[in-house]
Amino acid sequence: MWRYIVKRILMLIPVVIGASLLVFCVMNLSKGDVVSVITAGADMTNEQIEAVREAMGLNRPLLVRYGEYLFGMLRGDFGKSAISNEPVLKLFFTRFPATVKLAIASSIVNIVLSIPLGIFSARHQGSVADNAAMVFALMGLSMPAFWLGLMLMVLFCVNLQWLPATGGGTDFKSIILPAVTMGIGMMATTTRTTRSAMLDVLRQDYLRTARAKGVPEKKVINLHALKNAMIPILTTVGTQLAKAFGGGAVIEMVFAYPGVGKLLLDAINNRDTTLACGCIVLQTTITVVVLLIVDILYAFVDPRVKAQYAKGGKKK
Amino acid sequence: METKNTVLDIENLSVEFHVDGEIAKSVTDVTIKLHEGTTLGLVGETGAGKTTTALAALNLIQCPPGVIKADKIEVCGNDMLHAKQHELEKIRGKDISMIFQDPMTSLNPVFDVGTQIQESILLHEKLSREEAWEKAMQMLELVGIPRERGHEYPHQFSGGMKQRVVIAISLACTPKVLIADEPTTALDVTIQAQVLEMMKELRDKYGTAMIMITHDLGIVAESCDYVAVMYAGRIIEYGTLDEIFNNTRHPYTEGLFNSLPNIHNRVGKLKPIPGMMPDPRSIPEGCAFADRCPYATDECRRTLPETLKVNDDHVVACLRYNEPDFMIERSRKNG
Amino acid sequence: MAKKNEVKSEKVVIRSQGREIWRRLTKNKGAMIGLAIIILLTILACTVDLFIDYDTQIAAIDAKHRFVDPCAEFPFGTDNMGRNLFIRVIYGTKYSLFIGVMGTVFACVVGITLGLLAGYYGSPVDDVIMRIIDIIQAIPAVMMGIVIVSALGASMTNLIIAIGIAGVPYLTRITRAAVLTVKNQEYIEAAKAVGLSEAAIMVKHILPNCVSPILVAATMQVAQVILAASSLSFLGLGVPVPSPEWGSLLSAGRAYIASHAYLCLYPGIAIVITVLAFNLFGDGFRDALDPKLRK
Repeated sequence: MWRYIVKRILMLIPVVIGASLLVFCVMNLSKGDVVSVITAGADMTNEQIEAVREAMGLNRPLLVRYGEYLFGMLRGDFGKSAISNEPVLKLFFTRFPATVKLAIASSIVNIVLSIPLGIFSARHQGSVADNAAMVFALMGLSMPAFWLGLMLMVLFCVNLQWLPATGGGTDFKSIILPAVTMGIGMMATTTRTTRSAMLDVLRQDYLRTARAKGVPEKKVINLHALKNAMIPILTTVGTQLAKAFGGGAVIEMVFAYPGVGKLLLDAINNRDTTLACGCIVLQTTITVVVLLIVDILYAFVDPRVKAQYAKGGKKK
Repeated sequence: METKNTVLDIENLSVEFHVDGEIAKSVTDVTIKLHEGTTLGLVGETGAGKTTTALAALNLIQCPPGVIKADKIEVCGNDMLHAKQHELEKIRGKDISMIFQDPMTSLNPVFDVGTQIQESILLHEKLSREEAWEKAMQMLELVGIPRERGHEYPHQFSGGMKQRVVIAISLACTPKVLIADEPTTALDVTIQAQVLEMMKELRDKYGTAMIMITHDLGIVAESCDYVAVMYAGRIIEYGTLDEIFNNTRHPYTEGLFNSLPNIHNRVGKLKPIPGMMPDPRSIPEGCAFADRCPYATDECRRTLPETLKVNDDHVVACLRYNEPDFMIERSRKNG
Repeated sequence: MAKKNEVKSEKVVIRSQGREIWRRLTKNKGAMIGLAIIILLTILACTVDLFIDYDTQIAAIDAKHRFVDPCAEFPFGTDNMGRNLFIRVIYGTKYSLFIGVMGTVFACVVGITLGLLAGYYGSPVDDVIMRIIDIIQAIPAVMMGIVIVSALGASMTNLIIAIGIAGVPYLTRITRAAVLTVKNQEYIEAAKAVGLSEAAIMVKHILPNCVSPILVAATMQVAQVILAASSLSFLGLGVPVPSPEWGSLLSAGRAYIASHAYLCLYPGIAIVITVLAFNLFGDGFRDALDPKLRK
């Protein structure tokens, strides 16, 4: 088991390094760099601007700069933001808790809505209610998240005035709408997965065994069946959570939510390559780590998977 | 036949499945009475409606697509037909329980076997979790599995061991009625004997009435008091073990005996019953067996045979039984 | 599927199989509705220039009719420059559909090529390609798009490339998996024995047998591309104004959302309908190909 985990962690390293190379190079291909942003409006000659570039080390070959960046990264040094001159790690981790909050809140919305709906759909397969639920889920899948956010904002903040329009904070009230928006986006996939996983399980003989020994129907579904359907559901919820850590930028922007996504968008607008690069590399890392954790969680849900891990571990 | 110790009472049970506009008549007009401590063998080919009958006794048939009609389904005096869901849940596992055909798929893979036995006990007896666990472990030992293995999961057990666990689950609350649906079909021959022997012991120990569903007449001969032969959803012959084996009346029952390999006469050829059982979606109007029956007349194809009394311990549903000089070959030999 | 092909004459089987799939597809109401919408939108996108004049009806500013609420004359109302939102949304079909299709084509061309190479040659080509795919997939798609567009500059072509790349991993995996299932079939061995070049084997013999899963993936991908494109446009990284791409319309309408919510409502509905149509059709298509999944 532990060997397996260590192996998986080691396999993440090339992925993260590759991602950093990719992002670093693409970011540095941009027309116009951070210097043109800093010096915009300032009355400077071309020579002076070049001097700034020189001083910031931006004139050296790309690969040399990347090598330096990578070397720093491996020691945990992601450089400093060219705009605010603060360390990237510090900037990232001041914003990160807000993103975590949002990701978790939206995952809760996701779980609370989609698992019961998916189970209901599976139990009433082919009924009108099932079809309606599936069209509803597909609608969720077909909606731009930011648009849904805007519409919810119009409804709850402008028309009904139940919630503050843009809090800019991370308190409970200002997290509701972003979390609901994100949660509904996630819900589509989770509901569909839950339904098909449950459909598979509901046919199984062991549910008949459970019923034959007098297990209440509710428990048959929510314990005996659901626990067996958990692996695909867990995968989906986990993948969505991982995505939420990295892909919430647009929603954060719509709600002026002070998370990492907004930090990244600002960094990109300012051509703050170091900060943007750092953000993406860190988010990518977090995403893949969350996915790995989900993989490991399987073992706790399904003893067969655990046995497999154990076997795989012994062999190596 | 006093009614006071009737533990399972099914009268005129019919089960249909309505799928895609077609009606499959799985079970028709089946009547079964089972007394305390007796064992009934329910015999027939695959698809004859044996399992459906058993599931109906527990009211476990999915409706829809299933449609159950019956005058009476009673387990220990409890009306299963009109019971509410929560009442059913109290009866299932306590008064009546069932062992399923395939032990490989009958156990929930994500719970350890101890928990699965314990669950049944917790549901029906007022015991604490610890006491229930202790009882579950006793059950495990009773079926010949060391209690240390209680924390293991189904995938760590062999087929025979799994079936023992299933048996432990179904006997955990000492039910009055136990339905065993081909409990040994999925097992190796050597394991079959062990499991059967164990079931007999447990049945005798607890005085459980049992329905043994099987297509193996050997098992019936060894363990049953009564035999019901099912064909295309109907019971076509019913009687005591002795009557059915030694005073066979129905051509189909005869066919079943003839298709058994005979250990004492290895030279003799097997005589399998020709043809196939009719599709439950289009059961013929006359005797369902007529097309495969060597004795069938045109009358057989037209008229549904009534159940006729051979003697107090024996009934048969065959038109030709009424003809005074009609005799199937088997009775000629025996007689 | 592939197994049948090798026994019987290939073309005949594929044709009758196609008919069977089509028959199942026509039974699926959702898929048919989706298909109808897709056809309608395609016709609209192709003919929109015939009855809407870009210069006078899309780009022109009409100061007299600013912020008119939806009414008979302006079914979707008008925007801050007095432009008819209904006409703009209709005209926007052209952009959104074009981006959706081209982004998918880009992802397909790259993804199928990589998938073919990886599946056909196996290790080490496979390892290298799949590790690159892992890396691309690890980076959240929207961020990838943001980075690429901001690096290359905001234009329709760059938008298509940026979103197309995000779809590459999915198509590569689908193609690779499909190739792996047909690679070892006997007719491939036969083709090798006859002395066909590897490129010919891949294109003529392997690819046709992977078509169905790729088509399903591509249909779903169109939906994803349209969604992602609208996100990027919304962030100002899409088609430059005044082109009425739906995401850009939303982005422009957002400033007035508190007072004129309809400016965001209608373009959004247009996106939902289009994406839903592709998803419905893709879903039905997948079920039709593999009826086991349904029951």
